[in-house]
Amino acid sequence: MKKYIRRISLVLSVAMLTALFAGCSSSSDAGETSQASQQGDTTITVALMSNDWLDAAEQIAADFTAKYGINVEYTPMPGEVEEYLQPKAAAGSLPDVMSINAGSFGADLAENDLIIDLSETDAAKNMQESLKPVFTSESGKLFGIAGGLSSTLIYYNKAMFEDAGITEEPKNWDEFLEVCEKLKAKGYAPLAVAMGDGAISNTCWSTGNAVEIAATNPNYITEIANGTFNFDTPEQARIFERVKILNDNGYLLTGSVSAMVSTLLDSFKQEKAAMCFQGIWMAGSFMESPFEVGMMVPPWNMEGQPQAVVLGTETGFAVAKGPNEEAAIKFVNYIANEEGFYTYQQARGSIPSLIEYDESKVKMEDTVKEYVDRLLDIEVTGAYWFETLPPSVYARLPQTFQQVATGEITPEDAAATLQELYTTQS
Amino acid sequence: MKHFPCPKLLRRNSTSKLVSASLFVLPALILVLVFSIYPVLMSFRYSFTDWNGVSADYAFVGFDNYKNVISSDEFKTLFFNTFYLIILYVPVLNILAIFFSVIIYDIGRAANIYKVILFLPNIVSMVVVGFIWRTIYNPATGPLAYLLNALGCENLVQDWLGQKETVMPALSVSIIWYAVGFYVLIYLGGLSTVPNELYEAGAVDGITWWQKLFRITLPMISQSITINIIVSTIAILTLFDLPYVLTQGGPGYASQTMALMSYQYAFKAMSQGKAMALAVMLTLITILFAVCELFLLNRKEDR
Repeated sequence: MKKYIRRISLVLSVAMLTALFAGCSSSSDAGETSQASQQGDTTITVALMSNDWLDAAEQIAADFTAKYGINVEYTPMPGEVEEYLQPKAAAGSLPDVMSINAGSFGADLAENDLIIDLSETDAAKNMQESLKPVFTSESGKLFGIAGGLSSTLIYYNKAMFEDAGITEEPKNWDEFLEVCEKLKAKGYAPLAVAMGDGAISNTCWSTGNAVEIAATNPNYITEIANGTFNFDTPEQARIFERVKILNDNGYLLTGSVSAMVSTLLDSFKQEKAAMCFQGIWMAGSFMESPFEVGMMVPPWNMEGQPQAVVLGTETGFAVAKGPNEEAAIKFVNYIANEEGFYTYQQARGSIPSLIEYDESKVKMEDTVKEYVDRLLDIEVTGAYWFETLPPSVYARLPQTFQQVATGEITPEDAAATLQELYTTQS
Repeated sequence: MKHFPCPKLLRRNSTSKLVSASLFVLPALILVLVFSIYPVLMSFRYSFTDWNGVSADYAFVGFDNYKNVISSDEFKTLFFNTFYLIILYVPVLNILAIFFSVIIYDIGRAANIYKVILFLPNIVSMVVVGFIWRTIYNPATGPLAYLLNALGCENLVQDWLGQKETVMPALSVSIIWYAVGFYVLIYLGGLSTVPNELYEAGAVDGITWWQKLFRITLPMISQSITINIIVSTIAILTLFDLPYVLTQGGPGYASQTMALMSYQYAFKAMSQGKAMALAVMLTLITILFAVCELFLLNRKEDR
C-alpha cells in the first residue's frame, strides 16, 4: 500500500510541476501559435481609455469584428494611461492596441521597440501634420495616432450668471475675478476645479502655461526636451498664484482641493458651482444638462496679455510590437480613420484631427461648433502637460497645486520645486 | 516477546517519507520562490539602478536612490504620517476591537447580528470603501455635510480631505471603520478560550466588570492582543489602497504613506529605482517594528 502511495505522490508532484511550468512557455511559442491562428481565427487585445464612451468602444469592437473577421478582446483602461501601461510594458504584455498620450512616456515605449512606428499607416497619412511632433519619438517613430484635437475651457451655468447680473463673458483675469466676486455675493460657489488628480494639470497648469510661457517663448517645448528650460521663474510662479488667489478669496467650490475629476463633474451638473474648468471632451455631456451651459475661453490672461488657450491632442492609439501587429494596425485605421472614427467622435463630441473626413457624419452641438471656431481663431496656443513635461515633473503637479492652495508653500516655492525635479531628471 | 523493526528498514522508510514530503512541498516552494522571493531580490537589485520601468537599459547608481528618497522634502512628512497612523490607529483600533468583542461576548443571543454588522465592511473591497468615504466626506454633495447643514451646524462643514489638519483623522476613521470587524473576530476567538470557571470564581469573590476585564479577560487573551497588534502595525505600514482612492496622498503630502509614495515614484514619476529603494526601506522598517513588538509583547505574556 505504501508503495502505491509513494508512486501516487510522485505522479501528482510531477503533474503539479508540469502544470506550473506550462504557463511559462516562451514568447516564440506564443508567436508561432498566434501567427498560425491569424490565418484562421485572430484575436487582438485592445485596451482603451474609454470611461466616458464605453458603449461606443464596445460597438466599435463589434463592428470591426463584423467587418474584418478579427476578434477583439476589449478591456476598458482604468485610471491613467501611463499607470496602466507601465507595468505591462515592464512585463512584456502590452495589449495589441492601446490608448496612448502624446509625450515622453509613449516616446520611451517606441524607443524601446515596445510599440511600433505607425507613420506608414492610412490613419497617419490622414492625421494633421501639426499634431505629429508630440507623437514622435527621438528617433522619428510616430508612436500614436491622435484621437482628435483637444482643449480645456470654462463651462458656466447661464442662469446663475444672469441671476448675478453678469451679462458678458470676462476677457481677462481681473474681469474674471470680478465675475467670481459677483457670483459669490449672490451665494453661488463661483468655480469648481479638481486638485485631487491630474485634472488640475489639464486645466490650471496647461492654461497658465499657454498664457505665461507659450505666449512669450514659442520654443519652450524644445527647451524642456533639451534640458535647458528654467521653471524657477516669476512666470511659472504666476501659474500657481492664480489658484492661490481663487482659493484664498473663497472663489473655489468647497472641496476643490481634494476633489477628483468625477466629483467636480457631478458638482457642476448638480448646480453646486456656477463654473467648471474642464476639457472640451465633456461638452457633449454638459450640453445635456437640464440648465443652459455656456462655454468660455479661460480668461487666464492679464490685462494687456493676449488670450491664450491649450490646444493639444486627445489621447491617441498605439500598436504593440508583436505577432498581431497587422491586425492591430487594421483596428487603429478603423477607429482613427474609418467608420469606427465616427462612432468614437459621435460619442465624445470631440474635434476631429483628420485632414479629410465626412463632415456630415460628425456630431457636434452648435454651441460647441461656435466655441471651436472661436478657439481656432486664437493665435497663442500651448500644449498639455503630458505633451511637454518629463514624468518626474508632471507626477508632482497636483500635489504642488494642493500645497500652494493650502498655504504650505508659496507659488515661488512651487516654481522652484518644479525646477528641482526637472534638474534631477535631466 | 517484543519485535523490533530492522534499523535498515526504518532508515529506508524515513528516507522515502522525506522524498515524498519534499516532492509535495516542491511545487509550493517553487511558486514562493518565483513569485515572492525572486521579485523581492530583484526589487533590491533595482533599488541600486536608475531603471525607469520601460527601458531595457539601466545603470547602477549605488546608494543614490536611497539618498535622494531620504533627502527629499516629502520624506519627513511620509515618516510622520506613518508613525501618526501607527500611534493613533493601532491603539485606538485594538481598544475599540477589545471593547466590541467583550460586549458582543457578553450579549449572548444578538451577538451574531453585531458580528455581521461589524464585519460587513471587511467583505467590501478597500477601493469601494474609499469611494464610500469620498462620498461621505464630500463637502458639497455628501451626506455628512447634508446632516450638519440639517442640524444647523453649517460652520462645521469643511473640506475634510482637503485640509492638512483634518485629512489624517478623516483617513483614520475610515480605516478603523473598515478594519475593526476583523480584529473583533480574532479577539472573540481568544475570548472563547477563556475558561468560564475563572469568571465564576471571580463572581464568587464579588469582582466588578472592570476588574473582570483587567484581571481575567485581558491577561487570558494576551496572545490575541499580540497577534492583533502585530498584524495591525504591518497593515498600517503597508497601507496603500484606501489613501490612494480617498486622497491620493493629498493635500500635498499630508496623507501620503510610504507604500503610496513608492507607487507614485514607480508608476507616475517613472522612477523604479527610487520606488524600489523606498520599498526596501519600508520592508526593513516593517520587519523591525514586527520583531520589536513581538519581543516586547512576548516578554509581557511570559510574565
